[in-house]
Amino acid sequence: MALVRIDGINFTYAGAKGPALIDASLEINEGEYVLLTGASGCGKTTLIRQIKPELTPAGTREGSITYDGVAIESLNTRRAAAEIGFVQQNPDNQIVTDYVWHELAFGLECMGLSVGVIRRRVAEMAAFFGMESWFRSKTYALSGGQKQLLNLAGALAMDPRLLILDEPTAMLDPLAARELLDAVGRINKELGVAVLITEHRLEQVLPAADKIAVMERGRIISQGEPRETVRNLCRSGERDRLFFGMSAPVRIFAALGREELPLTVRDARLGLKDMLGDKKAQPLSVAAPKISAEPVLNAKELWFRYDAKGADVLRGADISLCEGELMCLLGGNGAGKSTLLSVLCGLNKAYRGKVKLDNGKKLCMLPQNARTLFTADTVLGELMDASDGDEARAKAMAERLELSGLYDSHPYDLSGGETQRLAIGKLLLRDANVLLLDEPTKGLDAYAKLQLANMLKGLCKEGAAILAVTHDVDFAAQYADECAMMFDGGIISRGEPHEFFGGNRFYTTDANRIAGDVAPGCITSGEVASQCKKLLQ
Amino acid sequence: MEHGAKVRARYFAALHPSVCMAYFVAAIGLTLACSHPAAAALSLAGGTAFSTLLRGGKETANTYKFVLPMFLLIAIGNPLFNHRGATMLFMLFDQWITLEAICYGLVSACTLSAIIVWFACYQQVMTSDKFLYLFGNVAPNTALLITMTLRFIPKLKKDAADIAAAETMLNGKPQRLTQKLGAVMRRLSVLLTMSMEAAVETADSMRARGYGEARRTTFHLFRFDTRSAAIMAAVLSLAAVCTAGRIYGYGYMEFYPRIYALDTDAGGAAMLAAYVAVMFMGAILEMKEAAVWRSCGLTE
Repeated sequence: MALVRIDGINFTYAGAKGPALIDASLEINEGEYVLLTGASGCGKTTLIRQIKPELTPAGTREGSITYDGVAIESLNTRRAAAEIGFVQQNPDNQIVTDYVWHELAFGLECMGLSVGVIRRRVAEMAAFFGMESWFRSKTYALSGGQKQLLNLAGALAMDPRLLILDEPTAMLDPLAARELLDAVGRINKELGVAVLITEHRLEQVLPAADKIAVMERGRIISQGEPRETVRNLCRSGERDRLFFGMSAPVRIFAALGREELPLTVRDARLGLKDMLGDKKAQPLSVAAPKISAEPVLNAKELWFRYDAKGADVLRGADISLCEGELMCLLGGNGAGKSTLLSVLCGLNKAYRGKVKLDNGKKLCMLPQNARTLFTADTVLGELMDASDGDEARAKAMAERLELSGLYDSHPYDLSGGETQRLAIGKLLLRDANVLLLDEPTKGLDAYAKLQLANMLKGLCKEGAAILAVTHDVDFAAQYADECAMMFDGGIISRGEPHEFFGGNRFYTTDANRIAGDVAPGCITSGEVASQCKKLLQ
Repeated sequence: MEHGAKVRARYFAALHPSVCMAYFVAAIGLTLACSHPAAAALSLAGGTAFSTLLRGGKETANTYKFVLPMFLLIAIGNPLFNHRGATMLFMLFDQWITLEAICYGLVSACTLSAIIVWFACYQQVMTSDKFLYLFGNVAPNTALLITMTLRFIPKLKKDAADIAAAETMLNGKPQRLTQKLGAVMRRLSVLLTMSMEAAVETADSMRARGYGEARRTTFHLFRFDTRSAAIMAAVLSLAAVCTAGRIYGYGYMEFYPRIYALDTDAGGAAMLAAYVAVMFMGAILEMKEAAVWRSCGLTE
């Protein structure tokens, strides 16, 4: 018998005009790993919140949901709290207490368990997740990845049968995201806890999932075994929006018209070798970058540390940015990327080295949390605030950023992509033409990324210069004019993306990992597919 | 216990919170109860030694930057404004300065300084989690509220800094006073909106884990080990001796109209010994711990 059975439910939010869920049905079996995917705003969060009674939003629901054979409405509240764990998107806001050990115990305290029982359970959790070294830390001192791992452990400490995760990696960098998803995989495989997860990073979740369900506009349009479901999706007319979200192996093989779609880089490599035999493509030739103009932003040998006795965070970092250029700054955690941005925009001052900005240029930084820029109650209000009350200018900006349908929405109700665009719009209305972006693609789905990229490219054409710090290798490969790598407080290499990634074996895109030897120089799925097509003809 | 901060309070911090609490109640309570030059001086000396070992010389010196002016203020102020006492020394601004008032000023300045130094030690040892453990079971929801507040403060600080940076990006650095006021108002309103949004998610996270389901227990990591028991017994018995002595009349000095105290006999000596033991117990235990580390060649 299924652990959770959702049977043809419709759901309408209180006060909303149309339904948010239409005839949605889904089954989750004991110990099953289920991935729920779909573009932002398609109703994923609404659906998974129906299964957690404490968090079900206000509204009317038709159809039935059962948990372990019991209607979810009449499920014992104690059972619901303990057996159905829930992890949300924001690592910070979910943490309730000030110490790690206390946070682990929070749910168990709520259950009124004795100190002895809690002590054992907390110890088990710390050991399972390898938290011993930060067990006694204060929660605010943790990294984002550690915080989210703590939230996961806090839910797991209650000994759940089902774990629901709502885009748990949206605010994490790729390394932390990988660690978190690995932990989720372990919980599923080693403990047999059923998992229901919504996630944009399909490349890592797809191979682990037993079942995927795809949503669009409140409906579940397809569900089943991952390989098969992905194949059906790629074959049907739904390719456009969802196809962008597929991982590189799937996209390459779907573009080549193959029936059998690999889900991992390894399988794709082997599949490509089988397909092509000994054939090899000519190295991809890419036109040299057109950047020739004088730099508008030029920083030479910047040295910076946060306090006099601390270690240097920037050690002679050089960077220059030209008009019309989109540059992506890559690098690991703690390499000093965000610090470099803060020095470039003047929030911090380098103790050696100078930042030079051309006359007539205005430099602005988009903070990692774009909401810090929002001061008004509506989208139009935000833009009017930045245009000093000039409604025509504000509306023209909204038009340009595809926000015109959202004038009366609250800025906090926007999707991730819309939030980014609104924040950039505010800066543009302040006449910013040199933009520094800190992780602009964090938490965006593939389609929103594409929209953002198109907008950024458009701005560059009009003469803006953009420097984006990102962990998103695929984004950089596809859209950047130039990539720079930061390591140990300095820029260690920079160049046109093909030249930058083409030679790397590890720090590169999945497409390049798959086809680096058969189609040299290709760094995006599209390039790999077109090169291989030529070979196969 | 602070993550990354210098950890000094080794011996005391590891004791059971009830023992730490009992010790501080004894030390501070006895200092307050005994109005005697010897008692005040011993308490100040013991507290300062303890503070130096717990918090380091630099931090202790910082405390003294505040304690010294206060000491002088009281020691000088008392004879200037208080003219009780039989032994008149000289006239100042047409007022008699008395020996008794000078002595009383010195002793109360010393007592107050000692209490401030002891409270500085208290803060170092009795972290929020220990306090909450001691009083959490009485009022679990209040305890949770305090915990959440402590968690919330650093987050609020960080958010405020981020918002200030964003605001500078958008509007530049405010120059005039009116601009500055406007900027502060805007920042506050953004901070409020962000915090409210965060609070909704925190509330969800609490409900998801069954908040309000049963009467909360309060979890802790403390154990009442044999060492804690031994120290507790010592603290209680020494405090009992001092209390008995104080009730009998030792450890107290009358200042007005004339300075008077009981002669030091066997009873007085016993109380003095117990008092010294209480005041220096903290410092001696910390020193012993440091010596153990040194002798094992494990100094930091």
